[in-house]
Amino acid sequence: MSEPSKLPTRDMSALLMAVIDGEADAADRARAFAAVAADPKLATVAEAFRLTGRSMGGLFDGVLAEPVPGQLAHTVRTTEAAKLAPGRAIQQKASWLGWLDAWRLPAAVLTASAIAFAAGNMLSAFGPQQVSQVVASNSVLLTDAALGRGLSEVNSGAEREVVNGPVSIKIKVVESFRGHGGEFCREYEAQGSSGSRQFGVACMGARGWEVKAMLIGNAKSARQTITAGEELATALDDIAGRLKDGDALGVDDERKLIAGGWRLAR
Amino acid sequence: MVAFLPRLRRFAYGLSGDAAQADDLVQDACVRALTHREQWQPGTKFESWMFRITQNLWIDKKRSAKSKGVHQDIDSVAEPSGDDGRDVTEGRLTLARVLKGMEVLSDDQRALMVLVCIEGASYKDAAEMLQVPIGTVMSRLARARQTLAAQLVPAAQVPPSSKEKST
Repeated sequence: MSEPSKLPTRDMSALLMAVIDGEADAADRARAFAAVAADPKLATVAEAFRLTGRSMGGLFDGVLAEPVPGQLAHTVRTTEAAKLAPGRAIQQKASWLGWLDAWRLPAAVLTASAIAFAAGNMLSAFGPQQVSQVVASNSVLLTDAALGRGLSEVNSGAEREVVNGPVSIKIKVVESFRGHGGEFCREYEAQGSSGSRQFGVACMGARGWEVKAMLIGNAKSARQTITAGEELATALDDIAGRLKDGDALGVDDERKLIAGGWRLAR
Repeated sequence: MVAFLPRLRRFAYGLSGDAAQADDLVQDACVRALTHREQWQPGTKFESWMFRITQNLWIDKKRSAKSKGVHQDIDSVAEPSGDDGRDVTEGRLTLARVLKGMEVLSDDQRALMVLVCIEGASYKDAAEMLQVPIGTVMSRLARARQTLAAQLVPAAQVPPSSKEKST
C-alpha cells in the first residue's frame, strides 16, 4: 500500500513539476516516475518544467546588480522618514519597531570588542580595503579626541576640520536630539585624512561621548561604498530614529549645549 | 527599506517586463507599504507582504490601463533578439525571449512564475503570499510553465496536463 501524497494535487503534471522543483517527497517522486514510465508524453512535460524552472531566475539577476536609481531611493527614503517621524513613531511604537527589526538587514553587527576597537581607533585605523559595515550594539566610550571635540563644538549642518595633534578630520553634524533617557545625542559624518569615512550616532554619557552606532566606509572604494552605503545608511537612520525621543533640537538649544559642554544642560 | 529595493525591483521587472514601469511600481508599493505599515503583522514575512502589495498594484495598474485603452509603445516591448528555438533547446534562454514568452500568461500566472521561478519562493510561501491554496498554486504554475515552454520552443508539442484517474 503506497503512502498518501503530501502535496494536495491530483494533477500529475503538477506533481511532476514538484519533483523537478525539489518539492516532492520520496512517495510523490515514486508516483511521478511511475506515471512517466506509463505515459511517455509526460517526459515532454517534464522537459517544459526543466526549461522554465528556478534556474530561469538567473536571467533576472542583472537587476539585482544594478544600482537602484537615485530618484527611487531618494523618494523611498524621504517617504520613510516622513512616515516614521518621531511624533508618529511614538504613537505606533510597538508596530513600527517590529517593522524596523524585520528590515534590519545586511548590517554587520560586530562584537563588543570590535566596536571598542573601531571606536577607539576611529578613522585612522581603516585602510582603503575596508569594507563598509555598521557597528550597532551597546555603547562604547569614544576615545578619539578629534572626533569628540567635533561632536562637542560643531553646529548641526556645519562642517569643520578638527585637528588634534597629528590627527585631522572633517566632521559634519547632521542633527542633535534627546535620547529616551534624556541624554543628548548627535548624528554625524566624518572623514579622515586617509579618505575613510564614518557615519555615526553618539550620545553624551557620564564619561563623555559614547558611540551608539557607526557605519565605516571608504571613499576610495567608490562603487562598493556607494552600493553598500545606501543600505547601511538606511540602517543607521533607523538606529538614530529608535534612539530619538522627540524632534531634533533647535538652533538655540543646541547653541546653549555647545556652550555648556552638553552635560550641564541635562 | 532601501536595502530591499533591488529584490523588489527584480520582482516588479518580472511582473511588468519593463524597467521604467518596474521602478514606478516599486515606488508606489513602498509608499503604500509605509502609509499602511500598521497592516503588516510582526511575525509574518515582511517580504511576502511587500511582494503582495506590489503584485496587487500591478494588477490594478493593468486593469486601469485596459479600461483606458492605453496602447503600449512597440519599442518598449522586449525583442527576442533574433534567437530561434534551437538556442533554447540547447539550453540558452535569453531574458528578452523569456519576457516575450511571459506576455501570453495571465496576470495570476505571471505573478506566480515570478514568485517561484525568479524569486525562488516555495509553493507554500507562494500560496501564502497570493492567499490561495497550495494545490491551486501547483496547478496554476504547471499550466503557466507549460504555456511558457510552448512559447520558448514553438516546435515542441507540450501535451495538456493529464489528470490521474483516481484520487
